[in-house]
Parts: sequence; structure tokens; C-alpha cells
Amino acid sequence: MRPLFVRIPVQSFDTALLPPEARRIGSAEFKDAVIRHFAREYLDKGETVLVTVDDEAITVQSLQSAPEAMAPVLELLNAGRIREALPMLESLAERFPDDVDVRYNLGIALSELGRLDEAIAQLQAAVALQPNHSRAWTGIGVAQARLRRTDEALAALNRAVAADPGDGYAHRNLGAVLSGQKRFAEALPHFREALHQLPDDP
Amino acid sequence: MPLPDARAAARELVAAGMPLTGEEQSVLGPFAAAVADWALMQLRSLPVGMRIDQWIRDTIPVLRSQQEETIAEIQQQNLEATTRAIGRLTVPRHLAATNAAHALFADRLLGREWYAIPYRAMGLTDDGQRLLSLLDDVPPDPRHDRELIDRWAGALGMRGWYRWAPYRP
Repeated sequence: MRPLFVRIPVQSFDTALLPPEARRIGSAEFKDAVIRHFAREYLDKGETVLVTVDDEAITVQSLQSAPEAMAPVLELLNAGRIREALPMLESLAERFPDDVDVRYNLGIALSELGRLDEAIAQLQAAVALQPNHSRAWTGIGVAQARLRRTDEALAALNRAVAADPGDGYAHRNLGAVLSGQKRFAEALPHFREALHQLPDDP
Repeated sequence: MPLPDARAAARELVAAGMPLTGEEQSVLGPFAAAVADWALMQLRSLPVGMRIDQWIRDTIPVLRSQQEETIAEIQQQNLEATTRAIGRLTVPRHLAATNAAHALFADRLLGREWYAIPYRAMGLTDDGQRLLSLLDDVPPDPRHDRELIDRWAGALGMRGWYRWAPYRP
């Protein structure tokens, strides 16, 4: 199939296709709903598309592989545009369910948006695909800690440290959860290791 | 042959009662002229081209892959034309129905539902379907080419945009 590229002026989109609360052109709800509309339409045909919506136009382009698809999504995530990236990640997870990077980034995005149980499910899918994915274990630990499930958080963060003893973020978060339990003696070596691995981390 | 009324009609359709900015006023004429020329070219080419595509599909299976590639190129060009805009000036919706019809036709010909998706998002598939029904109503042979084009023109409000001229080699 030849790659698709289409740029549609926002005022040309048929807003009757969207939920009533998402029909105001330019609103965040409009942008989310448009992205979901196209992601669903093309996913039904077995295609993955990247959809972006700005104040002037909707851009839809087809993507052939998970790494190719992830590149622009990572740009959005790195720019802190998590709400815009989320529908794309959700459609990518349906299209590429066995891609660990897609699962991991979807999990982290959900976690950042406070959808913690959904985040944990995605991150668990990531570690099921790649059991030594320390960052995914760290993500599970952080989400569990935010849900005040301390035992689960500690278990996940210990898995993260075991998977990659050089992962400073895993040590830092494990230290933080242990400190929260007033287990300062256990926390101290993890903070030290985190400081060693991440000397510039505030 | 195109008539001068075509560009004037396109100008009215493009402006469509909108209060235009100075910049939009300055590009309205050239943009409307481009829309008129494009719409006439689509009217002349697409419905008859669809018949030819159907004939190729039915009778020359060895050309199928080349045909699919050509259709993909045309669909991309059609999308770019349909969504052309300068500021708030866009291609009038009912004229863009020609391209929606072609997308619906391509999906039907190739047995997939792919090319019509952007047109559905723009609310153009009902108008496209009406044009496609006209294509199906007119007998598929060259003697009826003019009738087919005239019926599409009637549906698109373009009947006064052109007149038939005798062929002179």
C-alpha cells in the first residue's frame, strides 16, 4: 500500500462525526476526538496512522513500522505534549501489541496523566515482553507508590534494580519509597547509587 | 470548452458570503480561477476515467498492479486538490464531491475501504455516492460519455460552466 499523506483544513472536518462535547474546532476535546476518529478508521483497515491537529489543519500520515511510528510520538512526549501523544500511543498499542517500546511509553504517558491502574497494566505488558526492562519495572513501582501500594511498589522497584543495577532512576525511586517507610538505612545505599549514576539529577 | 461564467461562478462559491480579509481578497481571483479549471478538468476526466478503469479491471487482469499504483497516485493528487486552501479560502464542498466519488469508486474497484476515509471525515461521501450512482445509471460505452458528464455537471451545478464544441482535428 502506498503511504498516505493528507492535510485537511480543520474547518473542513465534519464535526457531526464527533461527540457533542468535542465539536468546538480548536478545543483540546476536538483535537483528541479527531485523532481518535482517524486512528480508529485506519486501524479498522489494519493501518497505523499518525494524526496531528493544529489550529489550521489535521495531518494524517500512514506509518509502516513501530519504530517509524514511535519517532514523532517520542518528540511529542519529550516536549511534554502527553495528551496529544496518548491517542497515538493507544492506536499503536493496538497495531503493534508486542512492541515493548510502545507498551512502555503508553504506560508512562498514562502514569503521567494520573491513570495509574491503566499505566500499570501497560507496563506489566512491557515487562511480560521483556522481563529485564528496568525502566518499565521502575514505572510500575512509581505508579504503585502513587497508589500507596507500598509492597507492590517495593517489589517492582527491586525488580528494576535487579534488572539493571546501573539504573540510577530505579535506585532513586526505590530509595524514596523506602524513605517513605522510614527505612532510612535501607534507602541510603540506593540514594548513594542514584547520586553516583545521576550526578546532575536534582 | 470552458465558458467565462465558470470562473465567476467559482469565485462566488469560494467566497460564499464570507467577509474576506484584504489578503484573502487579493488571492480570491487566482484561487477561484484555479478551482474552476480544476473542477472542469475533474468533470471531464473522472467519470469517463472511472469507466475505463472498470473496463481495464474487468478485461486486462495483467495490468492490475500498475492500475492500483496509478489509482494510488491519482488519489493522493485528488486529496491534495480537495484540501487546497489559502487562509479560509477552500475548494467548495460540493465540487470536491467529484473526488469523493472517485475515492468511493476506487474502494469499490479494489475491494477495500481505504480511499474514502478522508472524504468521510470531510462529510463528502453522500455527495460522492450520488455521483457514483449516476455513473452506474448511464450505459457504459463511449456514446454516452457526454451524457455522463452532463449529468455529473447537473448534479454539481456546473451545467453553465462549459459548452460542447464540435471536434476539429
